[in-house]
Amino acid sequence: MGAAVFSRIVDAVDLETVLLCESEAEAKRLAMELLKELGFKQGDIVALEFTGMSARVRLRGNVYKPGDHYGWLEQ
Amino acid sequence: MKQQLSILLVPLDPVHDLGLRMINHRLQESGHNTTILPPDLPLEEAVKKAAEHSFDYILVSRTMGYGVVELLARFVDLLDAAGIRARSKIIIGGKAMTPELAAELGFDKGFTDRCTVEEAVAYIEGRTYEPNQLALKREKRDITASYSYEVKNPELAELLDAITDEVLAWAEDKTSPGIQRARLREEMIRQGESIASSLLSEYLALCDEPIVEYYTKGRLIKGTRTITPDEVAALNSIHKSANVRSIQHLDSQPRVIIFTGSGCPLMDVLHNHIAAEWGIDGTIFICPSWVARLEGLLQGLIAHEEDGTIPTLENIALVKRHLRPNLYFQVRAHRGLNTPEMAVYASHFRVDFTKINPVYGSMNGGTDPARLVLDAVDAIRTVSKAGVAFDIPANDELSGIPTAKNFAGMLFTAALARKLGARPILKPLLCFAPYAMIYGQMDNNFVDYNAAKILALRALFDAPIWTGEPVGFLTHEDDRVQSGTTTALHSGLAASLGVDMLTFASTDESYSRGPITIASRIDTFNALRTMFRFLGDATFAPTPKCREYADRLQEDIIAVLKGVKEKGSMVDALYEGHFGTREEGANPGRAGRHTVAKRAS
Repeated sequence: MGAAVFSRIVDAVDLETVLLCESEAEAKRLAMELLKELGFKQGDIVALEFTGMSARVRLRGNVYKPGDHYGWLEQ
Repeated sequence: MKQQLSILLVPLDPVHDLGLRMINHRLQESGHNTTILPPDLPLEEAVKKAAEHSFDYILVSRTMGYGVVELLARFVDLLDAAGIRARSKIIIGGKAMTPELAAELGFDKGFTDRCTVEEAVAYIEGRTYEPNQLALKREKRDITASYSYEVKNPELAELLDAITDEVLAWAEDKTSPGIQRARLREEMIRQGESIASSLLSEYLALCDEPIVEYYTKGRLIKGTRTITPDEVAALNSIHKSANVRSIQHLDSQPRVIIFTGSGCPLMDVLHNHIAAEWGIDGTIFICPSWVARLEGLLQGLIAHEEDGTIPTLENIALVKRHLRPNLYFQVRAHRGLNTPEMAVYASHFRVDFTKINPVYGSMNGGTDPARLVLDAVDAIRTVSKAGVAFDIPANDELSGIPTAKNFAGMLFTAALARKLGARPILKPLLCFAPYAMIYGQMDNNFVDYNAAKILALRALFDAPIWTGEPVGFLTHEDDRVQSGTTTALHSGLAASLGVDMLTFASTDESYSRGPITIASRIDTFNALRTMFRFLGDATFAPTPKCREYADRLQEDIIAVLKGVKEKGSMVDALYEGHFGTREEGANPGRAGRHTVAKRAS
């Protein structure tokens, strides 16, 4: 995704998926790795529910946080 | 007189013809001649029917996506070959359609599945389509106007009268740094500058060190930065629409309000613009919690990277200037040590609502009770003079304080407001109340106890009710579907109880490690819209326990206020646990302790 597209994002990109894993800790590690691999420098796990063999996760890659210099103001 | 048109409706689907049947019904109601074909006719047969008569319009619907391009292209070719396109306008709509695809295939007009019956009929009749009449026609109305503010229980009326008289007499000869700053601020605003230089030294003498250092040394508070004029100017160049969807299904359903206080007014402006398109009725300007604990307010356009937008005159003005004029705007005076000054701000901006509750504000480890009661009297006088209504939050319930005690505090503030000529709004929580968690009133369901609160308040006091804040407090989980669902359910309950207004959260409600995103806000806009459509004028049915809880609440509220009257001092009653003991989760605040002083005569 190019910088021009990123500048249209209001604040963040959420990613939702299910990860196969053996523990909640593993799910958290995989989730953060995923955010990193996708190129998000700032990210967090908004929701994670591990049920035994998998974890439902919602990850957030922050593009602009309050107080940043927003790309959408520089169009 | 409207022209009578001849229209053929062709559902090119195996079964999905509901949309066309609805349009057909509406066209017939409008006096047009229509013919609707059965679904899934062979193309040739449909074209043959189209050729039998000179139709003004042929409306085609197609839901199934597979092979749609080939099928529709062939249909257009057949219409062309039969000479029908020369005399009839051909319109296509349905889930598989886009306006671009329709144009590419040679249709005169294409509608997506979001097209409403009214939109399609307006197009055929050559009228301008006016979407969402309910939302567009919605104007801000005074939600306090239809209430008498009568205290319905004579014993309660007598208690509130005595307690509020005592408080006003106590406050008569006292002042505080907050009140003194409020007077200076009024003068500064009158002089046309947010901080007039001749008054600055006097103002700063009443402020805490971080505030003084900001003005005198330009030292920014940690996590803040100034916003540039270029950034403000750039806000104007963002493409904005005047579109609006309606969250409510019926105009009688409650007005719905969100919080915006990302920390940055620029971000707040953008969130408000987008939220307005989705149909919110208003927004609350949310400040950082430290604003309540520091004496004095900052000035200038300032962004804050933590939760809560800094309440400077300039920040508030920026957000207000960009807010659609038909949306409610609340700036909370309920800001601890700065309550009187924030009331001046709320009055200056003529906001629709502010917020004041000295009992809640002083019972949760916030502001010293004596200081806040005194400051609240001044703040209420200020907003009363300006005609700004205010709500009285009962969020002290969240620390486990019995509901009757926080309702007694809310009713005290409401009675004080009436005595000072103000327009109070009761703001009980619809939540999973910790007190009820302990004592089991919500073990079976979340309806009875929440509904009982509204019934009890209505039985005692004829006043507007704005449930908050947000609805569903302590029921939200991290999962966004669960979070949106519980917000929708509590909003449905609020609608079912006929409240005037409600505040609702985003699906980020239980997420505390970062800012609320606009996508999470939109989740709940859709959740509420769906709930209101589902509910209409129907209502939730509480069990008989609800009445039992409501009766008990009324008795307990009166018992609390009897104790306060017997004590003879509202302020002492606050320190001594009449509105919540330490064991119940109440801790009288310490900020501003010993700052109440005798006023110079």
